[in-house]
Amino acid sequence: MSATQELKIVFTGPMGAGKTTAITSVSDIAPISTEMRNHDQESFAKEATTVALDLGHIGLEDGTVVRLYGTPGQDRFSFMWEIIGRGSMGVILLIDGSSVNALPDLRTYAAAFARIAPEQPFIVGVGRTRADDDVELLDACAQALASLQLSAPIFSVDVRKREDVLLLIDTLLASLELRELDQV
Amino acid sequence: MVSLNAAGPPQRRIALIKPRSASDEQAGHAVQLFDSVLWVFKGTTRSVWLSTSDDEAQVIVVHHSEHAARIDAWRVAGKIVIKLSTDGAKHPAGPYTLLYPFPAVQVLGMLERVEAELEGWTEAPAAAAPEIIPERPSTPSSDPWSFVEALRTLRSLTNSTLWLECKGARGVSLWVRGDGSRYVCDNATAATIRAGALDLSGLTLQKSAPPPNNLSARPGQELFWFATYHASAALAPWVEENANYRLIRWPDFGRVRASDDVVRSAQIRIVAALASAAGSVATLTSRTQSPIEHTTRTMNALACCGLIEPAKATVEQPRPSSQTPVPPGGLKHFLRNLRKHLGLGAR
Repeated sequence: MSATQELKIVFTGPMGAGKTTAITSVSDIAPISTEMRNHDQESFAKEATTVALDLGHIGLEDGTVVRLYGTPGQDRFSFMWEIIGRGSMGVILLIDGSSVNALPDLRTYAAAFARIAPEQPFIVGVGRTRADDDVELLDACAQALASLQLSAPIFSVDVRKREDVLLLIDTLLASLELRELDQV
Repeated sequence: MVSLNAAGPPQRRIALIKPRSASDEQAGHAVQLFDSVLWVFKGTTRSVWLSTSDDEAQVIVVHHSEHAARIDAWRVAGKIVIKLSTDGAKHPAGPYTLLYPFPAVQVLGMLERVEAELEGWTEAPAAAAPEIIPERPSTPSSDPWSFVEALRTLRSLTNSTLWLECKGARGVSLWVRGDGSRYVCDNATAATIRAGALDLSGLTLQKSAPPPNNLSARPGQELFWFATYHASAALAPWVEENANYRLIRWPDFGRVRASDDVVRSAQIRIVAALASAAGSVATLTSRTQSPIEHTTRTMNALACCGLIEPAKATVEQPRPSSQTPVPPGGLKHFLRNLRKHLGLGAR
């Protein structure tokens, strides 16, 4: 463990996967978002998107602050992933399950963050799934991770629901705690 | 070799004899369970089993309490007698004896042997004796695993064209696809299954028409998880108490999340512990400081869903030291505060 570093949880994933929504649902304050007009409507029909980062904040009663970072969703800002991801307590990857790029996106982000934060808990939330096909999609996600020699919790979630975001965070915290216990 | 009738599957006549004592609930349940399995797997067995009187039957199914003289008479008449035992000490499982509560797969195995015998195939029955299930605590009135065992057998048969309706005394309407991959029910029934408020052990599976179109299909894994988790606080017959298990994959807690904070938190911790290192029920209970009931139920459900497997004896490699920043006051203190702040669980 390294001491006196910033305490941060990173939300990553492609554009439109719900990173800003997820951070908003658990942050004490409205997250500082650097959203701008999306000029890439061909890839994703969304008016505004995060071009640098989202920053949320959780202040604990003893004064400790946990920062919630959302990485930019556009490929050309991928250099930011390393800056944001390094030294994080864990990474939550959000994937849009309705996207044709769901699996390639999963592979890209998983491989990148396995390099950036290899020892930290890595949790995958797959959104916009349908009850009748999410089993197959989650199976495919697990296989995609396995092909990278990775394994991670993969949950179907709706990040508009706070309890779904809390499920991802709770899993991250439990993973952190159990790893720590096993190292003692 | 067994030769199959080109004109269609052979027909066999079977008689299920009512137990002598109507007040012996266990005996009644044993015969009923055998009957349910026959009904559920109609069309999937090698022969077609037709229920007839004992006079016409080639195969007789009786409770162990049946008069010995009557059993002898059937045998003398060339009939094959299958005994259903509810007393493992006096009537242990054997080539033609099933010990209640028996999983559906044992009934199917028994029927296959009987079919082979009727066709003149002379494999020694003892070689294919059914597996004896270790004794488990069970309620006197029903087997808590009967429904889950039926689901497990269903999954192993992978007949996705078949639909089975689960019927119970309370008029529950629940359909399961023949390969166990989907189930269908209304939202209220789904909620009672999730909450463990529905006694699934009282349900029987029956072949049926496909479910109504106005009900949406749900992943079968969800039914497997909740049916198993809520079935019993005792270890399931398919989980070894002292074996170490490793996690194959996390359950989709987005779908199978417990509504109770304490239970949810315990389940996540138990699976996180398994993800970190293989463990037995006892070691996981200790590592996660969870009540043993939560560990047992979670392990039952994980095993039923095929998400854990026995761990091979390997030497655990030490992990590289974590780069996790140290919060002021230590990680434990920090996690407690953060969980409290977010309203997570009771830890």
